[in-house]
Amino acid sequence: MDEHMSANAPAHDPELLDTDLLELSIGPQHPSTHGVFRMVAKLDGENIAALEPVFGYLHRCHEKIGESLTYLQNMPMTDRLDYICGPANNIAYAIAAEKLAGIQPPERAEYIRVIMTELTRLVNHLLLVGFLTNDLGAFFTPVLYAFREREKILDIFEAITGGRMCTNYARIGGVARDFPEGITAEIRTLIDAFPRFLDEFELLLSENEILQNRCVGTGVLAAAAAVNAGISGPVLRASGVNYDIRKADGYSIYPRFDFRVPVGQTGDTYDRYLVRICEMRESLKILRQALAGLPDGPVQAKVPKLFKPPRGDAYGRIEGPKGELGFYLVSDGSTKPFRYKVRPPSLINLTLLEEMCVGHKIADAVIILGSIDIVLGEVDR
Amino acid sequence: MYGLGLLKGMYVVLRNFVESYYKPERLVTVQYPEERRPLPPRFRGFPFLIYDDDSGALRCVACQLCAKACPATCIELTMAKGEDGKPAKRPETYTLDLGLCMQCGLCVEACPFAALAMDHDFERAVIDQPEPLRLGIDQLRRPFSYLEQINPEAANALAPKPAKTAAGAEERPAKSSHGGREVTT
Repeated sequence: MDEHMSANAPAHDPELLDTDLLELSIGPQHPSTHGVFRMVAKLDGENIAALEPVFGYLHRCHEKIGESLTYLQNMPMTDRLDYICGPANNIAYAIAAEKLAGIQPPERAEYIRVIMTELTRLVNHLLLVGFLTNDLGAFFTPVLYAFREREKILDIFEAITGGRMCTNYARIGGVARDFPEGITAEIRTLIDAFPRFLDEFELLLSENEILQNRCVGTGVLAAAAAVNAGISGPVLRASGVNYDIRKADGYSIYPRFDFRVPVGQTGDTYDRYLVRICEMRESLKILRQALAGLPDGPVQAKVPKLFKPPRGDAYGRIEGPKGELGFYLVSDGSTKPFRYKVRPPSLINLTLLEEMCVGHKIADAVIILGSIDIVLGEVDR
Repeated sequence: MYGLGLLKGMYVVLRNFVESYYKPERLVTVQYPEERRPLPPRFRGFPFLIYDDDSGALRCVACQLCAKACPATCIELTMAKGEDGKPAKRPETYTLDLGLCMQCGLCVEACPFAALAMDHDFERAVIDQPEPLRLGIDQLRRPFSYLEQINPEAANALAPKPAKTAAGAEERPAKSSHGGREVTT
């Protein structure tokens, strides 16, 4: 290379040649960034020397709007945070508000919430794995297989809540409506058929040499760095840290269920993919137990129509499909929150993107971003 | 053997392709405008105003609770005045802004008179826009029998009401104004 250059430009000293890094802006309108997200990459040839995530293109004042609405009115707004996992957002917000007012939802509502959250986890991980392969270049075949299964779950959401994605299902002190007749049988059929689909999906992907070549050893995230940065969810567990809020906090009724937490070894993209697949199998286990134990009874605790929590603050969190999903509410005793803050897992998991990408090829940055699992509605709020 | 994983994947794709011609669980798409899947009863479209089939009178008493429950403030309504100049318990105007409504269903939950329900109409696309996206009473009224048809569950929950509403709406003004005040504080 050097010889070639010096032959072409004999008058120049090779050391004086201008060798600046190429700055390349990927996004905000780029299909691989999963939304309006921008990466400013400094490239040394094809290798990434530095990468700066730029976000805020979808900022819509979610938190400020939340302060001008009553506690209940904000419930449909939380659907729009991580629009793939509407029910999980609703439930996390309801848990925060219940903590604030000291309300205990009835038993049946707790079970329904667990069922909805775990179904949401299936939806999210299906989409993630599908679109990760899309980023790898497997154009839409795995995505459509994942979509086919996701549609079945969304049909169940629609039958229960009336909405496919914007479910608006949880309420402070319970859930909006009881399960309609016959839906438990439908969920049971779905989760009975699901392992077969997962096996087929794994047969399609897990041993695929192209996927392995691209993913194994790509975007390694060290456990210590992940813990330092507050990474949570499957990304953290893929790095080998056994931390799941369902186990650590034991919130709601999760301690009653027998399930394991899949943990990765190396923290590369392939581990993040495998952790998701294993988590879906564990979710099925929880679903089976929750359906078997679903008690009868009311689904809504007695909450005054005019919900006025006492002064104070509360932080409610759940193990969302993407990580620790938390809502912080400060009450001044009125019907509206004085301060409302969302802790979005996507945003915090995104902070170590540069560390994962540096040294890799630019095509790898796309799949690393895909394996972190971001939704821009939640990153920017 | 290198490449075995690829071959296995190809096998899955091939099986999906072949089975998509005869296996019902792989045949998941429908030819949409001609062929439609039934909507679940709880489907949330835009809200509509219920009137009783017999009398044709709206159940709405213009208590404003739905307007106050709406996070997007897409409902505006005014109460009609009777001939004697006193407020009559019925809406004079009722406007739903389709551009703002996000179909969350909180208005239906807030309504104490079972005067609102969520519609099943989701095909709102038009080629040109003949009028602003604001619907008035005339476009929003639907008979109770329509609700029974689309959502029997909700209709059953509201069923005891129709006998009462004619009398109940007259009798309950004090209660409704109390409810309105409660929310404003």
